[in-house]
Amino acid sequence: MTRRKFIQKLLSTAAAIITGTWALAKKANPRKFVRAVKLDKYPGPLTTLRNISKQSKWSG
Amino acid sequence: MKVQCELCPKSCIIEPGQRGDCRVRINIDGVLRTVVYGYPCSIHVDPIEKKPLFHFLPSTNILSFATAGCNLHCKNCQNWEISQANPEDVPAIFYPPQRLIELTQNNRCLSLAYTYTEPIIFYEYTIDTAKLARQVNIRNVLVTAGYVNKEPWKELLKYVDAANIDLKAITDDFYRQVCSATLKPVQQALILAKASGILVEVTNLIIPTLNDNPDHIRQLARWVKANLGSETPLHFSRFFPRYKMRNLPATSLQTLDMAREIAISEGLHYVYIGNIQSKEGQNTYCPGCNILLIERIGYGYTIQRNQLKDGCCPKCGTEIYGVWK
Repeated sequence: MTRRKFIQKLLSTAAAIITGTWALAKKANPRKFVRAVKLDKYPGPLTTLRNISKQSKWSG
Repeated sequence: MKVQCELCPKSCIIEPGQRGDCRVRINIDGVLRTVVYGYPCSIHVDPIEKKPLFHFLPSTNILSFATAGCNLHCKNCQNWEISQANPEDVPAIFYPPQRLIELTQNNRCLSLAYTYTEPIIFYEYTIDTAKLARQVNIRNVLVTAGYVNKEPWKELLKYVDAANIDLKAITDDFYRQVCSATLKPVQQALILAKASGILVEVTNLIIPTLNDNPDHIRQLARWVKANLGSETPLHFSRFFPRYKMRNLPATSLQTLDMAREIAISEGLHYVYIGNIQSKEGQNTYCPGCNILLIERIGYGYTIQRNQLKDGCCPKCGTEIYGVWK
């Protein structure tokens, strides 16, 4: 094996190890959020505003 | 890619396409998204005393709203049909922050309540609406379980005027077994809220056999006095058998009276009982001379008589904790 081929092999192996480690680390460490981004579409049914002057039946 | 939501102490790690414990915060392509922003499932005009807030703008109406979802799962939840439901199953109305503000103004409400479920889980909607409300002099009121991380809580408190925060029990076991939460973050949220200068009232729902032990009630009252001050109003609220706790009876008036007496004997100035009609438990008395200052009737939502003069007792001049106008 020539020196050039050896260095090429060494570099590609190192790159593969770094890429693999990075991918694993990324998977293990989730992205952290406090604020969520709003989703424009509500997943449930939509309705219209009803009589809001009637006191709520909910507690609070 | 997984995401982690750091809004509340649950710190949910969410796989792509899945949601956090609150059901409304979802991982879409590695980004945390909220599915309920601008979509309340309930909007009503309530008397402010219903929140309950007895020391904040009495006799005024408050526009109150909620979205589906909650980060706690209390087995006794009174509002479980909306708090423990997926948004898919709860009809909602499209009401972005600006429209809510207009609705508040059109209904001549001085304040806006983020209530019924848990305002923390619709945090972005809450904070954006609260910022707009501030600009037009509408006061912001939170009715919350206070299960939130310190940093987002401090940020939200900048825009809040008053809060009723649940202290569901004084034991961590209760929080873990009944609410799937923990006690410490709630205590921290209460302390931070009070320290921020907003008006704070505390609610403790008394459930027979679970948190009606007189020693625990005494401990709870002591904790409130030591950490929030003797002026902090404390509401003992009546439990009704609901959701997953239908095997227990409703709380008796005697138990609620007993709790109130304990808390008063521990030095709290304003102790109320709620969700039930009571002769004295809904009234405000002067901590200085003990005269009746505010008489409430029914479930405490209607004020029969208010003798306060500029927020003070007309007889001895003691200043009464609250925001009175």
